[in-house]
Amino acid sequence: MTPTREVFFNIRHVWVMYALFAVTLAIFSYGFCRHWQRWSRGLPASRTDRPWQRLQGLLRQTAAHDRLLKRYRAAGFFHLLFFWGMVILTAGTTVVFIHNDLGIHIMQGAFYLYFQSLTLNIFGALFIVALLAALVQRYVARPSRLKPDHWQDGLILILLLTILLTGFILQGARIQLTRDPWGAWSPVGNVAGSLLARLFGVDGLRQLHLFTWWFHMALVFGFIAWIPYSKLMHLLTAPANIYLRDLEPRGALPLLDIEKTEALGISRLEQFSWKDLFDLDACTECGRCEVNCPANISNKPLSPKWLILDLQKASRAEHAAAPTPPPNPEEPSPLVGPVIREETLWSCTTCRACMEQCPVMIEQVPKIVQMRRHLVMERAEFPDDLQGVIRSLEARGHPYPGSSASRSDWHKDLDVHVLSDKPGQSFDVLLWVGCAGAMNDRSKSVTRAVAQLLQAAGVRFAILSREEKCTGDPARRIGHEFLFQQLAQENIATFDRYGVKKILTSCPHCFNTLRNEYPQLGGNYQVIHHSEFLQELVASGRLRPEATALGKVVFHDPCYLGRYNQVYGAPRQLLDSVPNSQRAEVPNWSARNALCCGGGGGFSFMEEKTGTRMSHNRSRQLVSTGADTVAVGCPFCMTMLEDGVKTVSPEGQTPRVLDIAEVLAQAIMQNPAQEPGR
Amino acid sequence: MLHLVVCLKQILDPEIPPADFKLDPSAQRAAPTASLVASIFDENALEIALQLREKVGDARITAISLGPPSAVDVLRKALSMRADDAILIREEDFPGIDAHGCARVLAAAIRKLPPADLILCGRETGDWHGGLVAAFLAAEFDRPYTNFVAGITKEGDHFHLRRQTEDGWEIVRSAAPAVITVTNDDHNLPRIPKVKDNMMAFRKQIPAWTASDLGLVPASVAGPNSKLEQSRLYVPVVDRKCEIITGDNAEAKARQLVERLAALQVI
Repeated sequence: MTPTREVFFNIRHVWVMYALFAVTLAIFSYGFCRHWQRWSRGLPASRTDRPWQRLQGLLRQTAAHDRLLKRYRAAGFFHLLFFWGMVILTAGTTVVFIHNDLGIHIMQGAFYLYFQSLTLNIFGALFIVALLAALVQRYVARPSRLKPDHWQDGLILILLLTILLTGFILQGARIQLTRDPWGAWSPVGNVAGSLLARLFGVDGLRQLHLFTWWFHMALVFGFIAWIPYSKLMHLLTAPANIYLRDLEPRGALPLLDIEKTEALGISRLEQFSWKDLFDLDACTECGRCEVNCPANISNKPLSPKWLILDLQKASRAEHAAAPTPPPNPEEPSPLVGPVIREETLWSCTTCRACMEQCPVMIEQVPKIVQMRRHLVMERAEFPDDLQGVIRSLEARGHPYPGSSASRSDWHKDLDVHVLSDKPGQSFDVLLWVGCAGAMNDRSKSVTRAVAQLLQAAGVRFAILSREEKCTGDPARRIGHEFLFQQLAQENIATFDRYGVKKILTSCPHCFNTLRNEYPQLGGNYQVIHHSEFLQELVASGRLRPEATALGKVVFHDPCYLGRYNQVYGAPRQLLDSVPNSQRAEVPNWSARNALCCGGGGGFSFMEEKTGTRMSHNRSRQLVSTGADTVAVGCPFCMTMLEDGVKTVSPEGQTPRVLDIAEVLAQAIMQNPAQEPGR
Repeated sequence: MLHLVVCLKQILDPEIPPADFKLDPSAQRAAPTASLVASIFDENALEIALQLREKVGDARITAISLGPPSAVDVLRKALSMRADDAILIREEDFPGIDAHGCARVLAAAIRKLPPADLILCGRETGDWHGGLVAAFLAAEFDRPYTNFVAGITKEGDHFHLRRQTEDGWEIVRSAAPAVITVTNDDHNLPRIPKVKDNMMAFRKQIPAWTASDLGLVPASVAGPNSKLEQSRLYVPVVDRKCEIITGDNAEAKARQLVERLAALQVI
């Protein structure tokens, strides 16, 4: 006899189920089409190229929960059970459909025993474990990221739990009533069946089976119909959103065609791309974005989660009120101000922590910057502190209003190749100094350390000195795309004039913009951060560090080096190359999980007016490692953390903050007179 | 409709790092080592003209600059801040011009425009700090002249000018037409243009008027006719000497210090 089971055992009037399923599908489709209609209001975006790469990433994030497991081991593990439980049980139901309704008899033999019985039972049981864990997480552990609770959250868990329990009751009752010879292949159902048989007797069990069958069906259909109207929508949108993720370089903000675009920046929902609107419905409200957000941690009026949910709410409300988009673009913005407050937009450091944590790859930062573009370029409204910055960038090409420093100050007594002095002399790499590196006193010593190391290693490098202008990074992050493009084009013209091919820089902000954003404007160069460049010099033996009094050292990952460009190894290897060095990490808060120092996105030039100081929060983490030296790789981090560690360290135990280049210079040039930074 | 004329000058960025400031080998002018910007008080003048237009509703603003071809940038900035028109007067037609000549050239240009109700200048330029042109201009037109104005309203036929003095404010009631110079305060910080206005400014034509357009013979207003002559331009060398006062205790050091200061005839 071939192992299988009867599909509609004990059930009459099966047509009622089909009728109800038709109704379910209709309700589901209506809801889904409304969403679809809403997403279609967005502007075009190309997110379906490179399907193979997209599929690979999708599998990594869904089948293996790659991101979730990186930081949230327990929650990630249980959600993985959750996910696989859902997938396997849905597959099981599909098998029944194929077997019974399409008449392709696959639900039999070994497949029936191994998959349809045993596998489904195991995953069903694991699913219950995951649901119980989720209930404990939400109602006992109660992490703040999950707050505030919505009635839907609990109901979804209870609904699923009921579906699973009734499923096992049904299976157990059937095994008992049909004296199923293969019942043992469904161990959980089998045990449930024998318990129920003892409680209800044969007739009672038959009644129970009949009632539970219809109840189970009603719950499942209700669940399906509810998907488009609840948070359950993420069952569909989350995987789709991962598939549709941005495959362009992470550090490049979308280029704006200023000449051709009617409205600069985004002030209305329909100015977002369809993918941006789709993002809003992919949110599972898990709040992981909040946990790593420096603004949220320091009580600024920004939560990446609520940013997305507020936009989602606005998008749904607008669509419900007017199914066709309002035509008048002259109306005051219904979005920036009423829905997303200006203070919220001005609280973001663009550190990308939210995007790095989001398990479904929602893109928060580009949305914030595009709304800033509206504020800055259409309304000319921005925090007072930024007025001077913008003016200075416009007139002087650097973001330090009132500075009397010259870009040539740092190299006055060094013999370096200034391109304008010797345009004909060849060079291998351009050392891009950056505004901070040339004009900020503390950062100047970093630049000198880099230059001295390059000289020690015999690298033929040149500098632009006074011909350098800001790369435009702060302008772009503030939302002044016009100014960014102006500055970038001037720099690209300068590079082209000198035939620059390879650029080395010690500022991750310059690094990111030169590497990922200049290609948008036709400037293609090989761009390297000094951590990688110096590490190569050490690896190839051109620089040989010697033991130095470094003590315990902790590296603070700059956002634009780490999260944006995934350079995590080089600075650490560089520090490890110093003999006797002992390196610490901030547990749970390093590399991709590193907390931003609070210096990005224009914050280096703005005062923090609300909440606690972002730099102090990060400094506390770094100081708690007991490090003697905090190593950095970014001039903004240097400024923020030097100030931070001084404030938060116990008296007399302030670690010193050194750039990795200064550390290396100290280990190479043991001459104390040249010890930089002290 | 009110017609407001704002005079703007392009100057070497006064925020140039001292280390970057160099003189041209001829020593007649500063070497072009730093960027060029609009003189700050001139931008304050434009800002209060814009504010006045916002208050009265019906007004037209003409920005005018006597300068080299690069001064077109200053005028473009004025247009992007939403001045209605901009006119460049070719400075190279008037070699060796002084403040008086400057006022005469500007006056000739303003006479070609619709009658001006108010002429606004910065209180002085950020490069030479002469502060003379506006007064000469008032004399050219024989009109009331008020300097150090920080704010302005229109009351009937008159302007109410808020004038900064050493110890406070004076409110001056001035007949129109008038000439004023503008100083900076918190309320006339030049606005940052909207990007759209910035782009519009690039599309506008800015005429460059020559001496003959103004009906002027250069030699009559500049060059040999200049009243002012620059005899020498140099960067002063500041000599610094540092002496360390020694002594066993504070009292001895203080005595030493007093003796040294007395010897230097400082006290």
